[in-house]
Amino acid sequence: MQRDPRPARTASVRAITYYLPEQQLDNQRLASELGDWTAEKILEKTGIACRSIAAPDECSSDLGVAAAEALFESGVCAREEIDFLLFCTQSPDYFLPATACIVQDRLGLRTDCGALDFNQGCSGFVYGLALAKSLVEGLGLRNVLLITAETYSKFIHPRDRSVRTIFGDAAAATLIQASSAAEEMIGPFVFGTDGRGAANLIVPAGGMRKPMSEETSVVSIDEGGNERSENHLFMNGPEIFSFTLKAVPAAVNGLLARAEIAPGDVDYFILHQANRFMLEKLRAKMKIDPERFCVELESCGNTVSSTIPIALARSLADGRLKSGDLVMGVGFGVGYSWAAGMIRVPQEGI
Amino acid sequence: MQEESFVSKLRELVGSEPADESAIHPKEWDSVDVLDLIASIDESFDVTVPVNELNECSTVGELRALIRSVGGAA
Repeated sequence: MQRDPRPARTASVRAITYYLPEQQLDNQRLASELGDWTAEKILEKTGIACRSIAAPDECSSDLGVAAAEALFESGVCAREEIDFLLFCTQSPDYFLPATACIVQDRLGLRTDCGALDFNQGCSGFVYGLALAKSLVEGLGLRNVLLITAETYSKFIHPRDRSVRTIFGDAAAATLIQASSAAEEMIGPFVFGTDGRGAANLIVPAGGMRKPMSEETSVVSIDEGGNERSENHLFMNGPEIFSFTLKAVPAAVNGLLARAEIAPGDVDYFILHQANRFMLEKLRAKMKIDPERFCVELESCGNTVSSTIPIALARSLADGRLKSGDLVMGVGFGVGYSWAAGMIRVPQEGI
Repeated sequence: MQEESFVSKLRELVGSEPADESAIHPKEWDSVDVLDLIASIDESFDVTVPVNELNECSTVGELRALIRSVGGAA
């Protein structure tokens, strides 16, 4: 009996592109609008110099399409070859239909292409990789397009510095492809969820639980002097930070154990780029060398589910990452939801 | 020595050597100072304190009691 050649069924990250909206929000402008913080102080506190902000008529689908078009232009894959589209957003164009369906049409993907939205924030990219891997290795699909796209700026009150200084809009497109690699190229993963933290990063009104109304539109000022209504994004920074200090080191250790590797086996750690302060505290707590720990948010801010793919793409572009490197990606935040996963840079590059 | 990070952050916030009766005003602190204190408590005692309860502490002694209540050897 003839033995089949090894089937090309190992999921591998093959390409990452991203799109940042044109409009820039820098610290000088924030300082002049918010008053009490200087541009230098904002940079010092957040590690962020500039954020990209979607135009009023620019939605998650637009950002996602732009990121994906850049991927197709690179020639790594033709649009007709995409078997499944995963679209991660918490700021969809509509309640319904799924943004993934709109994007399938706009990108000209086949009509026998699967497409679905999933609602996760800072953990979304790692979740998306796990889903894509499952589609490739479990169902035998060849090409899965994972798009992460957020326009959080549309949720943010202009006078709420706790979030306005941090978040930027962006989308990233990641191609997960079947390969004949003999070793695992994506994974293993660990996941975590603790819905007790739901109220600590939330847009309280605008959904079915509390539809937008005159009442939810009333703007109030909190103890820190930040203004917002219930229609806006609220973040309890200290609570989120406390959660992170507990959950992230545990997830990292859990993944090291599951992958049966030592911390020194990981070439590069890319955590969700929340803000520089949080990253630095987490790095110190986990005793990771700065050389093996990514901080990549100065020019675009916290772009939620796109921080990890953008950091990956930039690290590959400037040589911080090379073929064969083993990367640990860790997403954590809104939900609370977190996930960590291993990514091997394939020999043919990303 | 275990408390070094915690005491050093308190010294900065209180403005002098922190004693149990030293007054603290978490609600008036800069948000980054709150995060820094949370991080120093985590580093010194390997626990995280509930932020709403931290905000209610008015003395260093109360803060130490809160840390003990979540299992830290403060």
